[in-house]
Amino acid sequence: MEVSMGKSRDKGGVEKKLKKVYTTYIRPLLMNKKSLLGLIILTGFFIMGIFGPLIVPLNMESDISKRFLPPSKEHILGTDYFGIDIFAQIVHGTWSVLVLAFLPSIFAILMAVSIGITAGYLKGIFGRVVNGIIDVFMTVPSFPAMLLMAAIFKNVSMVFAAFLMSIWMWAGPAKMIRARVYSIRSMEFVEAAELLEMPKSHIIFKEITPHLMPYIFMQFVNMIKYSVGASQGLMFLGLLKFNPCHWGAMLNIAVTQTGSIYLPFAIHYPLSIIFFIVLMLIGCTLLSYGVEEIFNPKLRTYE
Amino acid sequence: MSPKHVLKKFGIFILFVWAALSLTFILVHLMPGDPAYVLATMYMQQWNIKFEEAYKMAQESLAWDPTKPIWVRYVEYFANLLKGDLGESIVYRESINKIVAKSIPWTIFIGSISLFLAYMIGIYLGSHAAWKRGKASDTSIFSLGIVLSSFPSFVMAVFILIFLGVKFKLIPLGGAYSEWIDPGFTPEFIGSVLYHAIGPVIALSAENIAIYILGMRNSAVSVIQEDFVNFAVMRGLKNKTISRKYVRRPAILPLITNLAASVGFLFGGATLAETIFRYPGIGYQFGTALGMRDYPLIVGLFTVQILAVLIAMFFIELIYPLVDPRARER
Repeated sequence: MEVSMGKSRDKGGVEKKLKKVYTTYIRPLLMNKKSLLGLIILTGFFIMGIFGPLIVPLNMESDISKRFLPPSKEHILGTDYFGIDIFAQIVHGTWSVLVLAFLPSIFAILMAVSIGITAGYLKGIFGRVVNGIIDVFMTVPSFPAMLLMAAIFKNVSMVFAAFLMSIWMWAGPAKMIRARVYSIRSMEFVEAAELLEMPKSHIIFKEITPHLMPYIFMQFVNMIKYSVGASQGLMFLGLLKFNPCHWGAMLNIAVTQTGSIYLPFAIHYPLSIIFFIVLMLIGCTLLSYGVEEIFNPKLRTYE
Repeated sequence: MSPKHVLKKFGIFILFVWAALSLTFILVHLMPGDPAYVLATMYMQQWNIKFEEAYKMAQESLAWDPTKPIWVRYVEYFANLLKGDLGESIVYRESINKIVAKSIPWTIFIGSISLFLAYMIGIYLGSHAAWKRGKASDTSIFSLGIVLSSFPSFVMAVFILIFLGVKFKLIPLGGAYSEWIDPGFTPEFIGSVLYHAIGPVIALSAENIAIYILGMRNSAVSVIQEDFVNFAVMRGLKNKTISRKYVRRPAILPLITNLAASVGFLFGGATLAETIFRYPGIGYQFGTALGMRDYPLIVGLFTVQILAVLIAMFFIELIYPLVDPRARER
């Protein structure tokens, strides 16, 4: 019966649904100053990552005569140790930075949601075992664990690196989702659905999950912020090597390999990389705090 | 707190130690990556030898023999751990226990100072911002929190190294103390140690300060809207009394449970920050071990980090009922 109901939904239904998604999730994001600013910054980076490489050409051939040129018209942010334009490198690295921010978060949120709901909804010994697994994963310090995993593999691909990172990111959010499910489970409407002998899939996806959406979204945004920082760290230690233009890898070259932080005439090199890393993280932080304010009205400032 | 309660918590602690170490053991040993292969390619490049030769050497220098069944290695790992033996480092040819013993005091030193600073500053500023919500001082503290939380510890480390170290020459560029001073309980040595700790401490605290500012602000804002605070206002209590005794105290509670997570977080940050400052703590050793693919040392240091987090958690759980009367057993 349910299947036929789903199929009979016409175009108007889809439109209505989209409108609902817009009013509940997207419009508040645009109305809140913090999340709007965060979104603008991140959108800017997406545009830079997708269209930037088409506009800014990158010439990776080293030219020692141009070493450490200061910022000028020709080289907006100057050149690095090898005489390569810094801005071009940053633009060409943006996409991999974004992928390493979003992909691990997508993997991790999928794990967190499925495991968190399982642990919260199932009663008895099985639910407790799943909860125990979450607890164990939470005690392992996540960034050192990522470093350890990355060191075992040689030449990890980007997707696999994202997967390795996500293994150590899902546990905390899963715990919070579990706690929410646990409290929602004992509410009247869920009990009513259970008394009506609705299928479990219906109770989980149609009754419980809609109430989790704000939490899931909040956790997802926090994960993005975390993985931006963590992936920069992994690249900085040289444990992942797939793009020399990834900002963490660039900072590694700037700090440990060419020692340009110790040269007063070369500090534009590390500083411009730091600027972009921090700007992206500020965007993420603003978005995550804005989202938190939207779904937790207690936090809002008086306007 | 009854002895039975402590014993129960201790049992849970042991269970967690076992589970967390088993988890990492399984992930390290069952993952399809081959540490011997990675190590062999490194040897090959280093000494210009044939791959087969390098592979053999790599296998020998690994603490575990990949041909042994996994459960034998598992039992060996825990047997050694129970004896308090973490194995031997490949690169240094030295017992890992010794490396840990000489490096962990440095990390505890800068880690505890920066955690203490972050906690104090964060809680003070966070509760202040919550109390002045919507006013100028809130906005500025909040913006500070946003900016600080966007500086991962290693970016902060590079940043202050450039400005305070290279440009203004206010802090040393690396190390834990000046090499020409003999270690000992002399004022020069202690001064030098403190002087060298400034950089790493700032780098490690920055992100934690932000976490505590934003966390405390969130938590205090929710407390301020509780009825008992309104009632205190109606009773005409002084603002100072309300903000200190009625708001700050309950608002701190969720942050105390957060401290254990901060310890783990600190180790992550320390790996990068200590590497940048060449500060000879656990994180620096971990960073170099990772760079040189010294697997026994990597696993040994990671074991120490997990233990540290769990010990911190154990103590916080023991102390928590003292702070929160609601968590006390009746």
